[in-house]
Amino acid sequence: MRLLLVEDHRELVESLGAELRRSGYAVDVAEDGEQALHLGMTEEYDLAVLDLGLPMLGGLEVLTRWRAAGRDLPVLILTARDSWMEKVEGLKAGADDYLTKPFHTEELLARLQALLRRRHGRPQRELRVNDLVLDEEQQQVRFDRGGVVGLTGTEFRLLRYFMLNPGKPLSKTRLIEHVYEQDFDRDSNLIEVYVRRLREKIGRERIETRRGQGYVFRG
Amino acid sequence: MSSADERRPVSLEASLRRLVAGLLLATLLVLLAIGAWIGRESAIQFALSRLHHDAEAILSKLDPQARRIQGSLTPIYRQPLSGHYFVVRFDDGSRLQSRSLWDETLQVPMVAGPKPKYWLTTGPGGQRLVVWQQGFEKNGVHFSIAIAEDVGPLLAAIWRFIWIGVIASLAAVVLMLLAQQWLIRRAFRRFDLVRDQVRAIRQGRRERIDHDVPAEVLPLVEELNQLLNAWRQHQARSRNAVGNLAHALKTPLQLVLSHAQREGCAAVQSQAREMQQLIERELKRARLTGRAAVGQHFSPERDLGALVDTMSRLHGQKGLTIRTHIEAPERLQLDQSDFMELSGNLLDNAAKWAESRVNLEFVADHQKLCLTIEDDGPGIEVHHRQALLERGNRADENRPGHGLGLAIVNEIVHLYQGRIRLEESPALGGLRVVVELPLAG
Repeated sequence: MRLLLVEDHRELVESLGAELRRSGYAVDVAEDGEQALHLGMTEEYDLAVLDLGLPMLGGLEVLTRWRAAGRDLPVLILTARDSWMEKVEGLKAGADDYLTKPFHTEELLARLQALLRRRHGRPQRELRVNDLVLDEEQQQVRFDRGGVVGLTGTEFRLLRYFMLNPGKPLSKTRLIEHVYEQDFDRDSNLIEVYVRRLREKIGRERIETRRGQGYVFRG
Repeated sequence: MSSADERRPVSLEASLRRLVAGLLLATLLVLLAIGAWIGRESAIQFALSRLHHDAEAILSKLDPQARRIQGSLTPIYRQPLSGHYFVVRFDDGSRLQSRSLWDETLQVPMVAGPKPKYWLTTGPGGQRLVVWQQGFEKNGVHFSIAIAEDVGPLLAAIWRFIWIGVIASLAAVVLMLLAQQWLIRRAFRRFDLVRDQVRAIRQGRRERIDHDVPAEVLPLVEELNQLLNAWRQHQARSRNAVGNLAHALKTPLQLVLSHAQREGCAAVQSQAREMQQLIERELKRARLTGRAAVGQHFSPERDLGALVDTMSRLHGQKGLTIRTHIEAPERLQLDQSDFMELSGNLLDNAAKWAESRVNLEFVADHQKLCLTIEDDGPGIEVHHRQALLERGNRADENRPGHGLGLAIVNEIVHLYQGRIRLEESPALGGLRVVVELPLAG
């Protein structure tokens, strides 16, 4: 899952970025409004965490322009502005959720997961495809017949993206875009390596290869 | 200290009335006294000059040796008790007096010098006589002529005139006082206008006082307007200052908190939490406006609608049903952000605790409003309800902001002189919060 973290406070970016990466997000950071606007317009993010008080261009303005341009990624506003007027304005501008600083990291993570699931039409509390359940806390996959398999960070991100989009053909480029951070060296062979490892862990038949189209997750 | 407090304010009108009435009365009395004196003196002088002429006539017709008057005088000196009399006294003690004196006598001194004298005395029948007397010498005989006239009717006419003057003056004083009162009241009514406008400012219905006032009041109004401006700027500045400080502190505090959490440092964590609460509380309180300076007006349909939308999204996972019933004018005399804060906190609490249903009812006319929010959650036990309204108290530490939200609601309610009740919801079984605020101040 690729996430855009828009925040101008460097220390917060460091600590929050680390937490987010630990939780299986590929995190890009924008430290001002212009950069955030640009990244949101050009890159494929699954989520954005947006601060409102930003240099160059305010967060609300960034959000409004994204929405005007048809960028419909889920956006969580993370800000110190906690009046109801501001919350209402934020959601009117097109945010999907609003969390005020100071916040508990667990709450932010829970809300981000909820946003992702809602986004992919899965409002349930856990991410499940057929007999497969993804444990987002522990970053492991559980089988209904019993048995748990641990996942590495990249494997977890890849499997989560598959499980959020079951039955859809997903190209390697798309997978790379949603699994890796922006400045990562995008070698499509890497995806093949990780798909192979996933198949070894959850079963070959669950990920189908389609010539010229990429992969389809069957579950 | 207390005596100064108990002193009643001085009425400008009453002191003006006292001053004007006193001055007017004193002036009129002095003028009347002068008038009376002049009237009496001129009456006497007038009588004296006639008496002098008559004396000349008597002198010319008097035969001192024979002690008799040759020829006739004006008949008035023969008509009994006519009020016109004369007495001639000779140095040998004999006297000659006018027939008009009849059997009465007029007491005059024996001898009078060549200098004329006059005095007032009471004559026959209680007449007020002015007497003129002078000594003469004719044909070697010394004698004096005293001649008198009754000035009673003249003086009575003057007194009558003076009394009419007194009554007319008193009437004039009363009339002038009434006129003055009317003028003052009319002038002060302009102040009522200013007062109404000041009240409107306090209630947020107006921004400044009109300059359409008498020239004497204008400087005061201008000063008041400038004071208002300065106060608004100061208010905005201090609110911004508190806001900026609180915002600036939040992010570093966030870092302290998450660091302490990671390192498992409970003491730092709890202190940081406390600081967070303090900041949140002061920030929210600083933001409250009250009636004094209404920024944007609260519009129930629009603003509550927006809030309900926001709630549905923020608590989206719950599948919440928020039913709203709004019966209110388009705009109300309430600050939008204050009331959004109040209803936002209440709705948020209800949404947090509800199983699935929240009801919002908002009924208002121009006098008062009643906001009822109820949920189907677990409710709050009776003995916890009061404590919840108190500042910063949290009934449930695991759901941040619950207690604080209600405390802010309570502050807003008090700021608007309203009332808040927490009770059990008869319809949904959870908590019902009822807020009532008066609207016309």
